[in-house]
Amino acid sequence: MFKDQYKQLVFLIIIVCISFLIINFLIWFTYTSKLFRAYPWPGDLSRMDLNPSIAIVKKEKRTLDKLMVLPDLDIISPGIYEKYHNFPKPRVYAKYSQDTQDIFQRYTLVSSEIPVLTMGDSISRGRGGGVNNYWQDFLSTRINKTVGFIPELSDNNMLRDAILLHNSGFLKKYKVKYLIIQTGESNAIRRFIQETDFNESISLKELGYLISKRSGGTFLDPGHAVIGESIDYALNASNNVYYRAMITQFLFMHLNYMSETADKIFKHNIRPLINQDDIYENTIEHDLRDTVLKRHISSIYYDADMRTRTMDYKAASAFSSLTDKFNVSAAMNNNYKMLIRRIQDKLGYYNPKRSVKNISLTNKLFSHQDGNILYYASSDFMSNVKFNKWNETEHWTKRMNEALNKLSKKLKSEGVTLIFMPSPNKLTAYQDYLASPLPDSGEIHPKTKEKVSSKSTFFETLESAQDREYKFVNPKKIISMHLKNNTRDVYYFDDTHWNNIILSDLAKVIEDKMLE
Amino acid sequence: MLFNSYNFIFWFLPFVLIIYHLSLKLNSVSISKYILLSASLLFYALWKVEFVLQFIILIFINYNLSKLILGEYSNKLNHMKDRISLFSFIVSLVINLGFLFYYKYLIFFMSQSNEFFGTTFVLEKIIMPLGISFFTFIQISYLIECFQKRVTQIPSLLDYMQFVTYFPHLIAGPIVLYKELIPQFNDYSKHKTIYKNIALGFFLFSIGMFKKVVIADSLDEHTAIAFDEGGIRFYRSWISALSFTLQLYFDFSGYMDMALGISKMFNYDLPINFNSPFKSLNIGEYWRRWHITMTRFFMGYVYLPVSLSATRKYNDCRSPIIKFFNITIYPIVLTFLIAGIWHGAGWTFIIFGLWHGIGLAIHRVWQLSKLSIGKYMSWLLTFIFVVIGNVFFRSPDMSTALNILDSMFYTLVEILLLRNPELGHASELSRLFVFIIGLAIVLLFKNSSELAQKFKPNLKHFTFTIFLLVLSLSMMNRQIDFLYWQF
Repeated sequence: MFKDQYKQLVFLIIIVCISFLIINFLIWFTYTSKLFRAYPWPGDLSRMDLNPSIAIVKKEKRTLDKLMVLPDLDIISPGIYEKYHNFPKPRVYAKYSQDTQDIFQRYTLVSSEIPVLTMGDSISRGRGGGVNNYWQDFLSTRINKTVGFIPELSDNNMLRDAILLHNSGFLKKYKVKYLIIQTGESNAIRRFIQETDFNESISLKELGYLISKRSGGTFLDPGHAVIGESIDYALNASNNVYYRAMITQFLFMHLNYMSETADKIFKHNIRPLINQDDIYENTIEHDLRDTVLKRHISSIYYDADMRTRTMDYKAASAFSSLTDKFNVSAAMNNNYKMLIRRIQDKLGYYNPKRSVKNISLTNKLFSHQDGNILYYASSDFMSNVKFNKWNETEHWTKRMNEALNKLSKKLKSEGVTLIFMPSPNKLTAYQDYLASPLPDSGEIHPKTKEKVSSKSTFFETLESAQDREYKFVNPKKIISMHLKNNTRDVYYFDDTHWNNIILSDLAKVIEDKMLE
Repeated sequence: MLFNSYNFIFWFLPFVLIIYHLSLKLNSVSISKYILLSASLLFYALWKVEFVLQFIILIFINYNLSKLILGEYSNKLNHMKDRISLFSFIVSLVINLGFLFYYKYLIFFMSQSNEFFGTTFVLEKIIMPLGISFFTFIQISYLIECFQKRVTQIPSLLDYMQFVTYFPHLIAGPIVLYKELIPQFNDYSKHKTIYKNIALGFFLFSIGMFKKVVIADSLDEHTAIAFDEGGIRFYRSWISALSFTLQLYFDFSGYMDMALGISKMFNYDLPINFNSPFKSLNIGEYWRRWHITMTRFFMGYVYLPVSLSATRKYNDCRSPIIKFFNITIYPIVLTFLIAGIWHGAGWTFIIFGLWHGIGLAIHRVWQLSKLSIGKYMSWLLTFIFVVIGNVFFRSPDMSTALNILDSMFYTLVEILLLRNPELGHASELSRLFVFIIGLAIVLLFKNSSELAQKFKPNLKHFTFTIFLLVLSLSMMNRQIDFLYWQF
């Protein structure tokens, strides 16, 4: 084509690079963008499985009378919000009437008194999404008391976290009467059997910073509603924002574009909204109507790379999920995985190492068109097998029970009641409704030399503990009751997290435990 | 902006390349120079626009001081020529080193003063301008060359600015000399589109990206297990230390290949910075092959003056030991101590510098003894020596470094004494897989400069380039910063 062979080589390389980009673009538009999109996002199982066909988009919405709160960290770490994070203290979340455009409900977001403090993982962070996705909101509404939340402070050592809360004087300071610890079944054991110093302590001020630091994207968790709904408004109110974001994706600018969007929404909508002083002057609707993202290509380009890094700390963390999902490198990587996955599907190849598996159910327990199929995380299966194999010989339940008893005694000395609430894995919740047995675990029990069962025995083992000095809440019983009545969507079809269906009953059970 | 970021690869570089090569068609050297200068300043501004102004001011100050050093001023002052030259030179060094000290070392010295002398300096974080160590050294080197009268013709301000800000070397080197770059800017044979250079640039760039994205970034998670995640045990310590040694090489040399490749696309050659350092059989050879332009800087501007001065002073000394120590050992150790401090403000970098300085001194003594331990043992000793130095280089603090070294070597002694020490999980040894692949590449294959010399426009090189590019782009999901950015 060219006399100059080097010229030919240069143009061939350019053509291949452009083709590479176009292929990425096509895969993104056809498949990946359906899963890795801005709020509202589909369930974690659909994302893990790279499976758009099971994805369900769940918008968040609050309808209950009370919302859970965060501890007001200003009282233990003065100035933490403004000085350390350059961020106004979240005070109030206001809901507006669709008809009158007036504020019809106002929630407090932080509190200096928290009679019921909760600690937990993604279940407690409302990660399933949807309507009223925080179990704490149900509890707070039911008992009409302030229910607070703090995240995990250590890596998988909730025992230490609770000890720090006690020894630092945090529980006393916030007048805590009940400490409810929620943990997913899979990680429950390791969160309570690590070697832990019961006398370890840090200052309240340090603890305030630690809570703030560990909160990350959930710093505003009660305000997660605020953020979620605001983004939802912003993206839908401005019709072409999403479209433009997609075009930007093609131009490899969406990382910047979406973080800019997030930043703008944050600065102009979220910030005034959560700042009580400005609340009457800035309504959600007014601000969001004005959110038109007009940016010159030069300014988009200018900020391209470092934008998320230099973003306002809180904006960056509060919108971490949003920017993560619009991270171009992650998109490219997922495109690549998506392509492999689609090719495997076309060839009928089933990768046994898939992180999401499915199995038929005896009846239709989800409202999805394939509602008689259960999608679950492979790790649920593995954790069941691991528990059944090692619990007895390693005395896991016994050690966890002892640790919780010891913690409970310590807390009681200051008038705090410990409530322990493990939440079942999705596979555990539905294990009695499987149309066929689970696959062979392939593991041999070290003592009995028999094959290890893959059916969860975690809750039954815990229930049988005799010398319990803490209060034990078993959500599996409530779930089983609902499933027995053929209730659909107790868990989300495409997610490892539960729906809000059982949360009202759960709140009642917790209340009963409190009154015992 | 990272060379391995999508925005650089798909926006900045193509855009600048197209504009630059279009400008070459206009046959106006000035326009193409201005385009390249603007691109370099934009490249820097994309990191933090606030630093651009002070960067430009520093360049202006240095340029004008260099003119004073070279005696370009009113003839009336000719009788004070030498004094003005010396004074200007000293002022320029004070300004540049002061600038470097303020941004890079002030906090460290204040914290040490608070700790050891009980002072109460308030430590507030100072954001360090990107590539500060490199662009100040490039300018210091130019000023020294001026003072030593090696610069015969004062370059134009445009050329000087282009020399300092040229974006392929701006952030992490190589530390170029004025004579390596400025004459090229005025070489008219380079002011045209040369497809051979662009093709070769792609080739080098793809090798660099592969080294960085595929190998170095894959080693990162194995490096972290002892250095960042704790749980220091025998296996973990060795895995981390070995992985980091290769990560640093692939990361930095990958960056260099990308820089050389990008520069080649603009028709300019940058000096090579790595020449298969892990094929070295002694530590002296290692430093002649590793970060070559930095070693050249320190040897030329620190070692040689100190050594010459010591030679003059101790040449007549009767004690051969004192003479040898002062003329040979002291300059080497001092030079590498300063090189260590150049890498960063912290005790770990000071020890890193001393470790290599003392190692080089011992090697010098060994050379004089004429003893030999064979090729393979020499290689192994050199490699282990470098690995130990890198433990200090990578550790966040001295206690981590010492814990890792303790775990690596004391446990080894215990094994040899059959004491059955705790080693960690043997299953973690599978983490050495990437290291072994990397080491095989380093030892068995030609380096990128050697490959570039044999580059031809054929199917083999086309396939090779595309394979590396597409593989790297597909794996570019982590975007880990280049390790040398922090310097």
